[in-house]
Amino acid sequence: MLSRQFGTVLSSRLGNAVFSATRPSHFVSYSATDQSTVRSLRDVIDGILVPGTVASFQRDGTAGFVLSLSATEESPPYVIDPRFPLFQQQLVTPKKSHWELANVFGDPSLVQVNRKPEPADFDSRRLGRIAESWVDFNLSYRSRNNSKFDKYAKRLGLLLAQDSALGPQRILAPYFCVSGIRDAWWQLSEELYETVRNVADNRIVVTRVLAVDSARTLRELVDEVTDHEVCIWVSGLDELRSDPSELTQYGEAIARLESGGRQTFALYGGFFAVLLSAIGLGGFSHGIGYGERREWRELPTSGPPPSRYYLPTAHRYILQADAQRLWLHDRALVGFDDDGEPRRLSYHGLMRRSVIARSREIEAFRGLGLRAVVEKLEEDLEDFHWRLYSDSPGEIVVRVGLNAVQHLQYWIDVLKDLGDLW
Amino acid sequence: MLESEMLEPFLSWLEATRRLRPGSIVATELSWLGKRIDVATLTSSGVLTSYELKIDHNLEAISQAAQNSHWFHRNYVVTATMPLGKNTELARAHGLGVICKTARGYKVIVPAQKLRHPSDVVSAVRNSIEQSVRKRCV
Repeated sequence: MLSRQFGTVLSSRLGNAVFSATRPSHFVSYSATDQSTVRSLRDVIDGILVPGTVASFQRDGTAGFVLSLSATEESPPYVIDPRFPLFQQQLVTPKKSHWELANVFGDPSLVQVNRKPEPADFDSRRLGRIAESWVDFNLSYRSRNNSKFDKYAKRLGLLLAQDSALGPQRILAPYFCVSGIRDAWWQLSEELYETVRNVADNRIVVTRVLAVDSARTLRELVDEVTDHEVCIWVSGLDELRSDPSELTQYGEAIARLESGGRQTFALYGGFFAVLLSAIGLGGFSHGIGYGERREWRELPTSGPPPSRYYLPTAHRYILQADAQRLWLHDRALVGFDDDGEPRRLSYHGLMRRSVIARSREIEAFRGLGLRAVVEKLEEDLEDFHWRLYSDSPGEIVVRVGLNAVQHLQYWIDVLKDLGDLW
Repeated sequence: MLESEMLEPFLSWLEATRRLRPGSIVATELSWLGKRIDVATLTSSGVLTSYELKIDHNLEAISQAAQNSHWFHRNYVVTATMPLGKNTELARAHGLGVICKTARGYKVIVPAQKLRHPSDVVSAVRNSIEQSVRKRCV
């Protein structure tokens, strides 16, 4: 059992749960609508990524939930994502959570309503104040007397002591989204990271987040990163729809980081991230039922995402109606035997199922080399086609099925490129 | 013509032809499980009907209506372009109805089959329509 004293250098009692050399670590991004799913699956996931906006706006509730979980036997580690690119853009109609997060950084003027922020807005003194506020927020996260701890402990059905709760496993340094080495935002990201490290002063591990506008930029910047561990985020990278060349560049960047002894964790990733564990990706996070990709520019809408059905045979989400159609044709097409009709799953049932499915996928592909991964994916695709075309399928079910798996061949080709397996 | 321009005349036609009667509820752009259904109706007897409106691209409309058929009792494609024979047959094979806007107004080309669904499925859709109601027919 490791020391839980405030102020010591913390290591998770699960080891380094964020970066894993032997398996991809599987984190989920927390939101208030996911509480029951996370609670019931805390032994399935490896950790929780708490968006800074949620941690600041729903402060007591989020802390109560996260801290009570950390006090359980399973104790999933958590980290708080500073979501700093939010303040790199003009926020014409800022949300309350934006203001609250800016307050956490000790700098309400981070929210710019009337103009687009510029790199010149951030001098060293300002970065220093931001760094101090962020380190303080993280280090004191578990020690504030949380009024909701007992409420969430009760929901767990457990008697938990608040002083058994753990703080964040590490600090993710605030970061900007950058477009290249010559981008002034890159210089600021570097300075902010170093400043946070200095302020933290070895009291807690501080991890850099390398947030970029494209896979090409990631590839350009990997040689600038010398840290042993780094979180990465390619804004808007869509595992299902991005051009295969972009996925290849993404993989090449990760492989290059790994070959240089650097461990990586993707802030956003879906099943393609699981596949990239074969070339060294140490872990990834995703929202429950959504959030396998994210654009750094904030969208004007919010609210819970639409419910979707996770199709493990295609390693992606599809509409519940499409899953129902495939299930009617051949139940094995939708994977799990124990869920019944897709259309009858509730929102929480769908969310829970998606996390379990992802966990099972990770286990199925764990430890496989790149060639074995490609072979397994090819088998999955062949099996899907065989089932789809059996028993005289109607035109619509064929259309639904082919749409569901059309990305798999792209992934296979990308992985073959990465491993020179042609 | 835009699909949005089809909506009001179509709703008027539904009322004029007594497909919407007193006690019926109409929802438009119903958000349902990750998609939007153009028109969803619930009669006082509890029959759920979906309508997908399209100017053309009838095959896409048929796919959308087929998705709805897992939850609604009757499901229609409403199109401003007469579908090809093979698409009409595809709709018929899936129990979908086809309504076409002609120069003389709307015409049912293929009547929809009435499907049966478990009560929990029907209840879920009913609740969603009642929360999204655009119009109650009196």
